[in-house]
Amino acid sequence: AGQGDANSGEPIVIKFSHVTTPDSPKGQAAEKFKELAEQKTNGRVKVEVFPSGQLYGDKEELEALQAGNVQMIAPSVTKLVGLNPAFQIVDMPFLFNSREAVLKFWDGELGQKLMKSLEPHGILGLAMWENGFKQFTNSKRPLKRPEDFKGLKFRTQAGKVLEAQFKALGAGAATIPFNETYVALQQGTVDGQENTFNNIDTQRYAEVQKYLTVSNHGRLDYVVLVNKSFWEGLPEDIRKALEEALKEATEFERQLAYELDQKSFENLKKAGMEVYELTEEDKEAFRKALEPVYAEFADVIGKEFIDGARALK
Amino acid sequence: MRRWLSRAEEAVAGTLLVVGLGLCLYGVVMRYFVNQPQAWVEEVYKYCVIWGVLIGGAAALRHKKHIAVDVLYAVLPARGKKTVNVLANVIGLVFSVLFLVFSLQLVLQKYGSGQVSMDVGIPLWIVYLVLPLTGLLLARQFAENAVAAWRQSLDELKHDIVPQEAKEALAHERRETSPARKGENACDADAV
Amino acid sequence: MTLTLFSLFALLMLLRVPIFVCLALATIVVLWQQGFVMYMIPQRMFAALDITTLMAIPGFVFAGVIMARGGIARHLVDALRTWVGHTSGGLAVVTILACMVFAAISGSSPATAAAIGSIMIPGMVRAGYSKTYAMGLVAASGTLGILIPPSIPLIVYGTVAEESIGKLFMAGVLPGLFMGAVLVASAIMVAKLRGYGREPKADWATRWRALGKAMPGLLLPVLILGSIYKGIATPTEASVVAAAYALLVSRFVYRELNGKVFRAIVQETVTTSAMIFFIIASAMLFALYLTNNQVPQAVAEWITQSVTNKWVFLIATNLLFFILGTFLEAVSIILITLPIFLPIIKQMGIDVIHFAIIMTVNMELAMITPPVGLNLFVVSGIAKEKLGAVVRGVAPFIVLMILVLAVIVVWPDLSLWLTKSVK
Ligand code: NA
Ligand code: NA
Repeated sequence: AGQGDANSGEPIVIKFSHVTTPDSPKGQAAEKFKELAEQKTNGRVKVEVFPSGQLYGDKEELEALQAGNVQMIAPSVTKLVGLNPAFQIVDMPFLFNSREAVLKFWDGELGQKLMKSLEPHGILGLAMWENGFKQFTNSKRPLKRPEDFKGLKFRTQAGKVLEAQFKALGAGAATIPFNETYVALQQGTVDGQENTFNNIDTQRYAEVQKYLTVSNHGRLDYVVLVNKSFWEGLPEDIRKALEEALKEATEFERQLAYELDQKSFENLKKAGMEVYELTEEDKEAFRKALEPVYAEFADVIGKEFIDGARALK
Repeated sequence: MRRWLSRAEEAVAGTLLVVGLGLCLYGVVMRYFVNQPQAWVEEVYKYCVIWGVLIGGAAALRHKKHIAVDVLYAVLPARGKKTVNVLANVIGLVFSVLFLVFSLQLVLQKYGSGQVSMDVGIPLWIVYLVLPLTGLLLARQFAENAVAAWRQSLDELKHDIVPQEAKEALAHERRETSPARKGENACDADAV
Repeated sequence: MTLTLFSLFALLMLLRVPIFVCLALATIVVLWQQGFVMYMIPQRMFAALDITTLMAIPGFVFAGVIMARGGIARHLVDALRTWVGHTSGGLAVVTILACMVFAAISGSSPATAAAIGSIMIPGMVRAGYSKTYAMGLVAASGTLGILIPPSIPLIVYGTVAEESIGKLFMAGVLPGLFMGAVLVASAIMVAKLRGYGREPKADWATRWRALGKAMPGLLLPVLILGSIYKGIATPTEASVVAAAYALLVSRFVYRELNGKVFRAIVQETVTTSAMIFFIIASAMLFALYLTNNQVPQAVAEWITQSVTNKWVFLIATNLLFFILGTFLEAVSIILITLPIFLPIIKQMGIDVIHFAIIMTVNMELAMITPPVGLNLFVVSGIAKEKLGAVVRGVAPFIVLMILVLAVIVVWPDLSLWLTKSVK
């Protein structure tokens, strides 16, 4: 519905809904896409961006996309786990060796295969937008080795892998709503949490957390999704133009996200957090401690994906 | 039969709510006192509470809990009041039926996609089953209320709205003149 | 189309259709005309409730009903009456102070109104206050829940504006105390005028006896506060901790709780919570239509483009917040308008933290302005009174709070002083 004819005067409207602030890398990239798309199609396409979850929250945007009430969204990868458990791969601890490996994964064959699995649900996955590697913070002690996690309580996002990860480390995982996390960390309801530098910085967790462990242990990324029948119903030339616009917006987003994440790291140091960077040796110890997680989830996610991701440098 | 249904409905709603809040407390105990936070608790307790409250929507209708605006109603003559009462409940019935249909579509869509919840992995079509159920229960109650409004005598309606101040004074007087109050609050007007 | 939405909504309301049906049905009609895929409607309504912090509402309603029916409230009120019942407006002042204490542990205004109102409204009525006044007082004082920290809207604001949440919390303290003081002053004045609080003075023996009996109830706020500050529970979970404690006290200390009473308590909790949840769900549906058609965005953008004077801008935004606040819910107003206003706030040299407090006071007003005001619904639910009566009771407080808002707007230091002096 709402899709104008390419030849009539009415522009085709793309409603692009996402849940982060307009200032975030995702928010800025959405605006960038709007600008590029409208420019490259000479105004035949009009993109309306709805940031901050003001139109749909993260519990309903997938449905809104499938229903065709919006045409484009960019949820966290983990929101797709309900459709295909293989998307849990981004939560697998210490799987990706580097940022380059992550980008190669999503732009390569395996990432494409994951995206393809959404098609039967009426969804096309067009691109991965970066957020960053997750790090640990807590208020009790520096976390250097797996033993240091024993008895601590961490706030996590929903997800079975994350729960298993903390369990394997002898720590507890509590799901606390996003907007109560700051107070929960402040009051010690939980001791720590895991997030990207940028989220730790913008959520002001440094105000209530003392220790930061640079672990790069898991990923928080987004995927740009469109409604399949809408996208395939677009005139060829317009779709091409939009794909180009998205490609540029994607490059813009990834660069920006990476830069902001690094800048946030500097901010956190300046804010007085005590930083410890895991060495390769530490990471090996963690990989060993976290073997039960791989034993439990390797089959659910698929050996092909896990081995493939691990092999990337 | 009708009373039995209403009672069953309220028992289910109440049980779900109490179980949900109980689970929340269990989560607190496990996290703080046992130091073993249970990540699944949040999602499950929330769904229990929402289910209980949604199923309780029809009971709220039965006990006249849902808020409506009386501005026009208060000044209408008895016949007008009767018309408005019937009409409002018919409109409510229309909404409930629409809600029922849309919810069934939603459940079917989720059944087809096989999507599961984030934390515990409950199939979403089961989570959303409460929505058509809510629509159905609301429809039944609105229909019942419409029939009752249709049958209500005009005499009764003449005294339907007592001016606020008069009512307050009355209530106040009643309280002051009844010295033994212990346990009296157990049986509320709602229970009748 | 937006006009159709509002007229339809008004028409349905006049026909005495339940408000949740008015909101939902009017939205369904206009969305239908726009070719919206309709199964998203129940989905959106469910998602509107699928928010953990909302669970504090059934939690505190449950706690409140148990207190009201299990003896705690009666003993508390008795004690309060013997201690302050003879002073002019004593109980009203206690109500306001209780709301302020509760606000200091809860981040939500409806939760504050539910927790305090279920005890104090019956208490004030029994001590001779008009019920309309008591309801208005609780609805208004309850809004302090989001101004005095912690505060969910301030957390949302801090996230959108990338401001320190700690600083935002601190900025809410003095305006919150100021608002509380103004409410207290007004209560004393009203009591003097209307002769509230002229109960016979109790002797000391009676007072201490009453206090002893009320002890378990007086410990409740300590328990709630303590459970949050000791990190035992989140503010949402604290509602359930309170309910559990109230159940134990009613059953084993006051012995007023049996199976029959418990069933009645649960039934009242379910129906009251249902009334509130159904309206929240429908209000979010209503908001979906407005956002989808970029109505508030358009107005906000129009303001940012056409206003260049700082004071005109502040008046315009306050007006907009007030109008949006009559029918939208606080968090959605922040999410929709703040990103549009942020750049111009900075450009005009308005302090972002000061603006947060201005916005929060507006959101307080939003909770007590009809037709959609969560505190109105909560109070109407717990006091078992018509919405109209609550609105009549709250009207003078709306005027009073607008005056307080004006002071907060023209006096930035009231909000900013603490954030500057405490590092
Ligand atoms: Na508060
Ligand atoms: Na309002």
